[in-house]
Amino acid sequence: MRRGRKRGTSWYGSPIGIFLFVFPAVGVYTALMLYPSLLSLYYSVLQWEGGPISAAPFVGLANFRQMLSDPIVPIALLNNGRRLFLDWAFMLPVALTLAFVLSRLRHGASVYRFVFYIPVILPATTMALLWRFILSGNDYGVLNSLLRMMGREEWVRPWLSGDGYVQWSTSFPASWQHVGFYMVIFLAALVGIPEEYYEAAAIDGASGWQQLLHITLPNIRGVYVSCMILTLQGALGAFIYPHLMTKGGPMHLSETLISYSLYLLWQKKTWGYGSAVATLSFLLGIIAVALVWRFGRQRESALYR
Amino acid sequence: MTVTRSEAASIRAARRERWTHRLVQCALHACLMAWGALAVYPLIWVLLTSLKYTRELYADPFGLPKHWKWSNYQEAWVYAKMGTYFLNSVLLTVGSLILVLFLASTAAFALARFEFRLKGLVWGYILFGFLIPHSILLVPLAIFTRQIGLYNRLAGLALVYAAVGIPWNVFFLRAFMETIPKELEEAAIMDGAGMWSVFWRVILPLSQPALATMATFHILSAWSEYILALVLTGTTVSRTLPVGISLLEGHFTSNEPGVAAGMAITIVPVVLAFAFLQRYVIKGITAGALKG
Repeated sequence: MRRGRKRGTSWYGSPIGIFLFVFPAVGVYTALMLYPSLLSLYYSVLQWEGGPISAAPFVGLANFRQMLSDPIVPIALLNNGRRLFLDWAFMLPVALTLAFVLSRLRHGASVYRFVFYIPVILPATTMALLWRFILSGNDYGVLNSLLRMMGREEWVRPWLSGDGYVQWSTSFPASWQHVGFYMVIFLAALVGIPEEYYEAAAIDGASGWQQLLHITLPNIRGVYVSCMILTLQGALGAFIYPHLMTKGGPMHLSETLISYSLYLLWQKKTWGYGSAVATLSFLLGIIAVALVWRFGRQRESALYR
Repeated sequence: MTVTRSEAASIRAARRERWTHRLVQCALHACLMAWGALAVYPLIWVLLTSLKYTRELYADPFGLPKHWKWSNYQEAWVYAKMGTYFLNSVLLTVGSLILVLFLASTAAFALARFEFRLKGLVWGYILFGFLIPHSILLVPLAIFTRQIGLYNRLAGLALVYAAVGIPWNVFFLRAFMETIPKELEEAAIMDGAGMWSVFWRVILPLSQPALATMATFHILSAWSEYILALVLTGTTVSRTLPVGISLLEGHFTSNEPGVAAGMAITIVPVVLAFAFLQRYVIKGITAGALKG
């Protein structure tokens, strides 16, 4: 590197040098992520149904007012809520249980960890097809034919077309898929608890349950709360399973905010209103993070007081 | 040697405790294996189904295939164009990986090592990307890439993948680079090395563990990414496997084994990649968990 040597120290850390290092990333990020996200905010205040954007009139918050009277928006929000409920009531507890058992295991923990993580890496598009095979109401629906084989004809359900079933059967696969991810997080947190705590408790005669209740759980509470925030963002952005399993149907029953916005954008071509629905999800995410952040800071300051 | 009664009792108790301990371990293993079976069974089911005849699938959805129909793969690879999609996915994953690692590591180096005006602003500006969901980028990107001639091109999609990966990669790489001791680069500067050679010859080689972790996460997510690829590609020349899979059913009405073969083509490479790279996944998540 003769040239580098020649320029040498005079360039080192100079504003131009720093600019050359920072600019490529900031430029690409601005052009293809930040600028488009601002454009999306702009689209959401237009009445734009195809055609050139220059002809789309500015309508202010009319799109957001329209959402208030759109019956599908509350349905979609409720489905985002269902996903969050499953994440909190099923996914995180299962992940924590598995992690706890693995952390207490003598042999084979790394093999189990590998196996449990596999669903996380499988492309959701293939998993959605698979769940459709499983839950389909047709002859080849795996679950229904299994129920028939077991002689439980009365348990056969229209999992992907019945009101009250389809909302859950399009929410559950994502929760199931991500158990392994949160398990690895919890496992890292559990391994981080000093073994001496447990030894001291054992000497004091604490049973396994007492150790779990008074040592394990209090020590991973922070990580658990972080995971709840992650799932909050995940649930707000959920769309891939409803989009690929049922197209949000039947009658928009299994729609989430984002899958509904995809329908508005690419099926109905109402680009202004569709952008507004996507923006609602974006704004709810920011509000959620801001609330959690504020709440977290309050908790911290209470700690130092 | 005589054994007193109390000693015998304590030996019995110890033995009993050992047995209960073993029983508990066995029960735990049984539960874990049951969950493990649930986790890998879909994968096995796809592989088995991909080798069946359609008739057999309906008659016996869970059994082993009686006659292995390898031609399902040929059909998926050639007629359903999974071969083209596969190549596209490989090119896209590798291309976007090189792009994102280059862009993120240069910026991370500058942010980790130098003080400059607006540094805090640049940092916050990049981290704001954590809050931007991909779904709000779709319409603007679909229009914008058409305007600049990147629509329906792998290069355009690779740039977009790199862009959405920048916040997370810069965040992680900067944190890692700050832990590298400064003495090493000071020696290089004394020898007259410029910014680029310090970055390229000192910092980048030392950042290898972090780069491997970020590369692993990028490979796994780029291989599976669906919605951006769907919106920014229009024809076979640039479609990727996840998009191709979602279109498969059109090609194969009532040939589920053919669809399963396409799924296997999508799934098997990523599982193999994960098998080789899993320690980086674990390391990355662990680092994140301990910070969070």
